[in-house]
Amino acid sequence: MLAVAAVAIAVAEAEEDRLPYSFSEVAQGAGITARTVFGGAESNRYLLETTGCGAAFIDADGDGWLDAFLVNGTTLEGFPRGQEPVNHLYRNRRDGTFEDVTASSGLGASGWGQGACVGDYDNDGREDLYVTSYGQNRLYHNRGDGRFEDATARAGLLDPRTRWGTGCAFLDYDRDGKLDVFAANYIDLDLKTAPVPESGLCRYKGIAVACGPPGLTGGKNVLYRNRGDGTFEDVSERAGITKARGTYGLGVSTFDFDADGWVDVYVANDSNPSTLYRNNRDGSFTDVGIEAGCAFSLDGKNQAGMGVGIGDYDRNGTFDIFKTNFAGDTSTLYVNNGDGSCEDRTYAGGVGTNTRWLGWGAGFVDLDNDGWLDVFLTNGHVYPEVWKLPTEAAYKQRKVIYRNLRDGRLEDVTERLGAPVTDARAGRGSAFGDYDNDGDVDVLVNNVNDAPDLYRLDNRSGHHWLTVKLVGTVSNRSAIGARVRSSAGAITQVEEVRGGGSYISQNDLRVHFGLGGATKAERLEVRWPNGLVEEWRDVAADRIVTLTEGTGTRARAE
Amino acid sequence: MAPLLILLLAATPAPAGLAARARGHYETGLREEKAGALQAAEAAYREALRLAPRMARAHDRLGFVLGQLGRTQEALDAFRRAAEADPKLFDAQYHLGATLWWAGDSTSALIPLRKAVALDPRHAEARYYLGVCLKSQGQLGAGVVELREAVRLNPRIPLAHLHLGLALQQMGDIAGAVDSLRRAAELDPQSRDARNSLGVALMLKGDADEAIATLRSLVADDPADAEAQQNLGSALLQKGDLEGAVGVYRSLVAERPDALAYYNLGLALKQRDDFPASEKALRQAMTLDETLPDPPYTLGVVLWQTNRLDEAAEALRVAIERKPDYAEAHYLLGTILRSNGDLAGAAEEFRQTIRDQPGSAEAYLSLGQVLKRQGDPEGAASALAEAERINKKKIDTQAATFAIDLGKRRLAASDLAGALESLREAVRLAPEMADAHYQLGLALRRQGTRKEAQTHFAAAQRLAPWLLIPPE
Repeated sequence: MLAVAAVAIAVAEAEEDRLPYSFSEVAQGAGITARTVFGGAESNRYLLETTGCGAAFIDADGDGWLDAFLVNGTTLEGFPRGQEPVNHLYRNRRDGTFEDVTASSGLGASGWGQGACVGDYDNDGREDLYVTSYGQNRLYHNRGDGRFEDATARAGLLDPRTRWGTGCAFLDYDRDGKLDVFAANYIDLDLKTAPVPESGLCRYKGIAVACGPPGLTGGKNVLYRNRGDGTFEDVSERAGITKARGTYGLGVSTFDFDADGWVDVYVANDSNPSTLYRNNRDGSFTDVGIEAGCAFSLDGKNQAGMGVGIGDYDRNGTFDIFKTNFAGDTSTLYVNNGDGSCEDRTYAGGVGTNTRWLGWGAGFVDLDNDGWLDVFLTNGHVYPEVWKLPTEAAYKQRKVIYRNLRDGRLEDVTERLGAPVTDARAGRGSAFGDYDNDGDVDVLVNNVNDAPDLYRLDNRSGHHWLTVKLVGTVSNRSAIGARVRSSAGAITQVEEVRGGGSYISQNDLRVHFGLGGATKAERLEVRWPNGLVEEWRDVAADRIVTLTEGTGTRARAE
Repeated sequence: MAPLLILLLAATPAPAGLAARARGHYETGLREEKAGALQAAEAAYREALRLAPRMARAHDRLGFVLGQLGRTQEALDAFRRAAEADPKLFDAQYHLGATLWWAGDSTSALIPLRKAVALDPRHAEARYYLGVCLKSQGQLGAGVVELREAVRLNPRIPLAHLHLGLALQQMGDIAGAVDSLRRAAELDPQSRDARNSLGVALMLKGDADEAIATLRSLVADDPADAEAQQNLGSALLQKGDLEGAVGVYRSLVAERPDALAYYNLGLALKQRDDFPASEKALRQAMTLDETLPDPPYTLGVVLWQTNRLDEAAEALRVAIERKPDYAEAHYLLGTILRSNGDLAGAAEEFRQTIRDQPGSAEAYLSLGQVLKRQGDPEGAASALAEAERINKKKIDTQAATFAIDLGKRRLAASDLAGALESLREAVRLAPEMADAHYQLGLALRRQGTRKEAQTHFAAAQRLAPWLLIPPE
């Protein structure tokens, strides 16, 4: 009896120890196979070869299933005409697989592609794309027939200078119902004059590596205002965007930091204070990152910020920030105090125990649908030359998955999850979205000089969920900037529709809620980007619902 | 009167005869000395001096023999008498100076050594001793000048290269230090000092691979050399070989469980994110040596990172007690106090950090943030402005480094106009950077603008006295 009891206890403990979800890496089987080429595989001459590419979830054909867009790059040597690596669009077949429709989509551009963001900029009901590059960023208009057309020139978005666009976001900063475009710029890099590893000036743990960004001229971010006629106007100076204290911008996400109904923007900057553009509600922004306490490390140092995840992980009604940083440093967890300030809870939150990994894409995502946001973090070293260093954390690195302990702390559960998240990959951009519409959030990762990964999340928790697609009518059609509050049983959560996100990527524009044991949301409150507040009552769980602006019940925001 | 005169004449020997006899004893002394019969030599020199008390050379050789017999003070007295009897006798001044140096009195050694060098500017060893004396007196620039001259006159003095390398390292010329220390090690492969110092300099230069190879061979030759092992561990850490570093420190701790070994082990484990083991090693280091400030500081960092703030504060206070001007400890303590809401305490710690480390942008930034919360907007603005100024200077210095690199490349490609543009930019960005002025001077000289070139060369040498301006 005792032996049986002991075994039972051991089994119970093992069961408890096992997480109620797991990941499967399914990209190859799903048909997402095109290799991302980006710079030299063994060594990089310039920092240009290190940043890798972004990923975007986009419902390109409007069928309610997420398609996948993966940006691609090139090498310094280039490729023969016709053999260049190209960006790829994969159409979701709705059966767990994708079809590569790049050739017919008009999205197969080549070059030093960087990031991507999604939004319906002309409010025609079809999601458009903006793709950043070292070179010329491009706006792609979705024609609705499976094709995208390059609208960059027509939209007035051609830039005569060579710029290094990175993270981007569609957003309606002036609340005129039309999506504008924000893009971060990393470095004003001139390959003719930039220093090279052989100069000996740039070393990482003794090995010569690509130089920068400190010492190189930083890029200035840009904001293009949508005129509503298919064209855009560069308002970067007028809007105060160019006055940010930091530079070397990478990951971008929109969010409403101060809950005033006007979209703000966070930019993770490399080797500089990160930027928090607070919307002044008059067509301009002010960088309040330093004053707000969301710019530096806890001990006041610059960090090599890459990716940014936004979410209300402590469920206090405000949106917190998770920023990824360099190896030898921790990720940063900024808790939004709701009073215009952040509190750095990196160590208090349990994130300070990981310094070996170099983080890129990241997101707050409810992995077990218990109503508490967990964290998924993609890693990979910057320098391929680290193969010369006998370190544990090499060029390819494992992910880090943090489980929300519901008391302000996060716990690293990566080892408990095991493969595939412990498999070493040179990860970069990561997009979060429910591609198989099964109620849990999956992750698409763009790796460097490798095929992408698609981590399908399989949830055994038995918890309920609700995914909300928002459609603006007065507000921008994509409802970017909309805030959703879900009250389901004991769980009240807030979420947003955000432009950009993670590392130079675009997450699912639908809003996902884990509801725990609740079988319905007694109340869904939506604050639309243009200010209207509506509510829907008794929305059944375990489905995807579409809420259209103007069809709910008018309400006062809670 | 006549008998007294006769007596007097009889008591005073004829000078020529005395001198000859003194010389005879002196030469006997030289022969005895050459034959290794030091005591006989001493006796002969003393006899010579009895007959000719102002025979400088005899005093000098007597001093030499006494020195070899281990009677240093007597030797010094003899050299002093030699120098007094004939201030222009090179050997007297040189031997006096060198012996004072070896006796640990570098201050007194300076005067005779300066005289020796003035008497024979081409004597490499005299230059060497003068150089090391100046170095030990903190006159690094002047010491480097003498040591450089010593190795120029005689390139095969290992100790001259060694001390030159150490002086250059202290002055910040790490590349120069590595070259000199490498030469010292080549000339005297048995010199552990040279090899160890070379290993350290290579680490400072960032050449982790060569540092590791150098230090590994040193440790292989003498595994009991704890200092070499410590340095090897540091080099491995620098390269990011955490496993290697931990291995070195674990074996060091097993063989010689001293505070430094435990401290370095704790540091390596921390970098591996093994916080419990790191904490254990650091606490052990603290117990073994209650004077070392670094173990409690690093323990404070570990505790902070694992969110044990009160314990972290306690450890940091211990570090500060052991080293009151420990800027990093004050800063981290201030950060913790701020987290705990003790704004006044935090402000004081940040102010102390600034006093100890005036170039700390983070301290100014943090002070500014605290002052703002305390309702002192003017103080806050001033502190934040200083933080920004310091950060800008760092950024500009890095940009200047790249501009210099570009300037040199353009010069090498015969693009003189482009080179001048880049190098002028470097000087504009970092007017206190010696190399910027130096490189611009070279480019201006190439252009033929000699006067302006000279201005920049002068600026370069003012900023970095060890810089040698090549002749035209």
